[in-house]
Amino acid sequence: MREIATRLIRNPLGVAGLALISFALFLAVAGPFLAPYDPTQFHVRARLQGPSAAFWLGTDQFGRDIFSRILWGARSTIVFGLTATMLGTTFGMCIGLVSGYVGGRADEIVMRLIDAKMAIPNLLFTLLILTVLGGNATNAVIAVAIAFTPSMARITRSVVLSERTRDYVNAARARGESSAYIMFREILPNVAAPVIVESSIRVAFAVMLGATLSYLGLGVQPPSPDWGLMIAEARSFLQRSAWLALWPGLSIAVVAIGFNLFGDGLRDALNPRVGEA
Amino acid sequence: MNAGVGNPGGSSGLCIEGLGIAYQTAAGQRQALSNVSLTIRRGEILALVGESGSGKSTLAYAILRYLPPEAVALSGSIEFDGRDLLRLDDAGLRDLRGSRIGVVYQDPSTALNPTMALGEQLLESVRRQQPSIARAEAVARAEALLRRVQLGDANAIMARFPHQVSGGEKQRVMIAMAIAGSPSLLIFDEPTSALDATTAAEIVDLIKDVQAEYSTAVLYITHDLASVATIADRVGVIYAGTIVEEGAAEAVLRLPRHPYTRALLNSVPNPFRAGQRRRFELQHAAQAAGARAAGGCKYRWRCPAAIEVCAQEPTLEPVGADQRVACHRATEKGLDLRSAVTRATFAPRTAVDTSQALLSLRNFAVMHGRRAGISGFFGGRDSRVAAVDGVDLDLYAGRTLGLVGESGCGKSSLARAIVGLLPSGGDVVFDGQPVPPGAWRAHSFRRDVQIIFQHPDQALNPRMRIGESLKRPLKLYQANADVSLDHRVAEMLERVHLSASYARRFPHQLSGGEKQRVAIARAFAVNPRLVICDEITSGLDVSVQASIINLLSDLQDALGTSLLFITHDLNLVQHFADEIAVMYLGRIMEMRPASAGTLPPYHPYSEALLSAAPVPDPDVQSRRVRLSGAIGPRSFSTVGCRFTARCPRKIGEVCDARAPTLEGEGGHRIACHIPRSELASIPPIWQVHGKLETGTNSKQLISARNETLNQA
Repeated sequence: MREIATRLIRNPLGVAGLALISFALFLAVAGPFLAPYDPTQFHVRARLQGPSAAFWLGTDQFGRDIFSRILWGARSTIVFGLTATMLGTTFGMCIGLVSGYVGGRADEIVMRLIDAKMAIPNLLFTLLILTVLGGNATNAVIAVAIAFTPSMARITRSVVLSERTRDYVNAARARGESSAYIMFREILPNVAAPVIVESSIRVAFAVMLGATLSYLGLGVQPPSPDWGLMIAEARSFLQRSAWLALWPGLSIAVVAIGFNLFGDGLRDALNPRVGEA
Repeated sequence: MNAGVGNPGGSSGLCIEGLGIAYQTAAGQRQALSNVSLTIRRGEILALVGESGSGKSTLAYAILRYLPPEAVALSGSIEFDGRDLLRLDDAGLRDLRGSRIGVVYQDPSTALNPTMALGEQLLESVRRQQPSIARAEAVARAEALLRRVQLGDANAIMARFPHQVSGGEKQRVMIAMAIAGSPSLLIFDEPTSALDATTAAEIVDLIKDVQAEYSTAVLYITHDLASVATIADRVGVIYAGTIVEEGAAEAVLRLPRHPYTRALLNSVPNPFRAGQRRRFELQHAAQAAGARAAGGCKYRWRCPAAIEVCAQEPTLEPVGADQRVACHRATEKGLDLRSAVTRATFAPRTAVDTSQALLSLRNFAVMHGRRAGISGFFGGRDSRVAAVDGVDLDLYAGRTLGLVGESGCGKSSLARAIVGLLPSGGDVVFDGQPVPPGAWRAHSFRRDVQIIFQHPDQALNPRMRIGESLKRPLKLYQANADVSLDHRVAEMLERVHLSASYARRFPHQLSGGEKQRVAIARAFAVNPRLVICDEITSGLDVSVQASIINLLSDLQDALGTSLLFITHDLNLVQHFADEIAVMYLGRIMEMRPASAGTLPPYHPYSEALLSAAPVPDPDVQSRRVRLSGAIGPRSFSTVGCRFTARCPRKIGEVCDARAPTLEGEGGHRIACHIPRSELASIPPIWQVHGKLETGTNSKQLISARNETLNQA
């Protein structure tokens, strides 16, 4: 573990990603305490203002302080990204693990179902689920998690297929271990690394997908300060006050890039052969 | 310096003088080679012998200047045909590598490009020599090279891809590529260690043959001192980056002077000692940790004869006619360099109760591939082959059965099917209880029958600490709350001569031999009655192999466990098994009691296996029996003898028409149509030459030889 941490710290891009993520996490925790105004408070006299000393990033059409809304919004955005990814990864890992280890006809059926799901674009798929379940933040998390499950299952299964032929698995079988023990205690730790890397990159997609859903009105509902929602509301004022969309857009980009870089760094750190050559 | 050797500095051949190489690491410089001096004249084969990590490959790469950037040449020179290779520029190096020096690597399956036809790869080597050559001419030259390496159908081989030919054929193509430029130096880096015994013997023959024709200088790198006797003119023994002994192969093998050379020679299975149950030399590589530290004899950390003076570094001094040794005590008389363990033999066998076998297999069969099923209805073929086909074996309590065969003969399938990793057919009876067919095994069977696998890297979960791995069998089969599991783990580690601190380590922090010890500890954790060892030493150095065998035998003596020892090395298993089964293409060809030694009668296949085994003794001549072709594909419908296609003693149609059954008395049974009396009358594979008068029979010959060996 310490080795991996050392290698991650030596990787400049990974460190940059880690710094961006830490910053975003800091905002998610401390943002509400730092915000100068209540994010839902209207300043009727100061609507659609540009950045100023009073309102650092300006105000929106109701005169709400953008800076405060960005700080408050970090929490919902990041919590959304992390929970959706974690749920999707957990489902996907379990399905991939069982499917890959059991093999045979069950594996065949699961894989064809996954193929069918992967033929549908993620956005369309989440819209479909939200139309059925109804658009709110919790349902959006579930929808994104379900959308992510198949690809995580795929990745897990491909690693399981090569691990299950190894002799430590044969040794466990010959010893008479239960299938559950072999899957979750022997194989799982060996497939975790590539899956964790993939899911850390996926957080960025989840954040963007969540923002998109909020933008379309199917995720977080107004007046909550959510970055995606803020962009949606800024749409009608794009020509007069472009910064309204710029600040939340920039924030989403920073978080997405952070998780992307961190994922890349983690991948290199977990693979000892990179860097030695 | 070292003027005793030939003509160093001569214009032909390779002359290494005082070479020192170090690797730059984070923790400072690590010495890989120090003060290495060697000479290989043209027309001479020098075998460089050492265990893994001794620096033998670094030396080979230093000659080619293939060293990584962290490597720094500290001192010395490598002179080749009058030029110093360490000071050569890039153009000179290119010229050198392609044409003047040819190299053959250990594993032919990774040395060849899998996406190119063999012919194209060979043509590249030919064209490098003569860039202006016309294609037709180049093809003709390539074909001539392939015929030279005894690949009969050169035209067909050229069109094939690496995965379509056997390992032996690949290695022949590698040799053809190496000799394409008529090089004056050939380097072989463990060229046979990835090959089967019979194939390896052919490759060694070929190397000698090619070397004689081109009269090149040859550097032959190996970890197996036994193979030196068959191939080398001279031998250099390397330990921790220094040459400890060097000289004419005959002189070194007949009277090794350095303690390390003696230890190596003792760890090699010698067929003349087969059936004596003599212990191999025991070496603890772990004790060699201080070896790279500066100053003094590097071997003194492992040497049973180390004394005070050994703290000073010995130099290579000439001893005898054509031998140099770096040891302070090399010329002392009557020095017993054998450790107490080596002098001992394994515990003597007590009489065995043969009335009831612990494990008995009857008509045992293992199938691979798919049944045709529904696709058969649409014309699909039944693709099943029998990996094991009608095998009868009996294994008695406390005994060792050696199962010998080449890769692909079905021996691993047999092992895996017994423990239920593969479904099997036929009858299995364990401890008087029939084992149901299929892959299901009872709880008690799983406790009593353990298996150890070939690759220790794979057999331990890389993400589990050693202690965690060792606790599993205890948790499953011995819920004993009285003793803490940690305490038991420490005991288990101690049993295999590892310290208790290993429990906290991960597998990648262990060497191959240590990992295999852990696997052994795990298998013996719950005192099983039968342990199946599936090629457990084949990935290890000869000296590590010896210590593993000693360990297994000690455990067997202490616990009364039966062993099913599966290997490709007939010579090795003769040393400690009670009975040997020779397997070919899924059938047992011969059952030999170890007491039969190495004398006829043999099954023609056993004869070839014995002949392929190298003997580390210059006075022993082995009769050459070479098999043609490779182990063939199996089809379901084979009716005749399985060995008929490659048998050098095939007698006629009966061999193809009817499968022979195992016949014979006294536990020595052979499956062959040749009458027993005729098999018994063939000369033995090994003959001691020049020492005894004619007229003595082979049994007397061998016992006389054993006496002289014991006295030595």
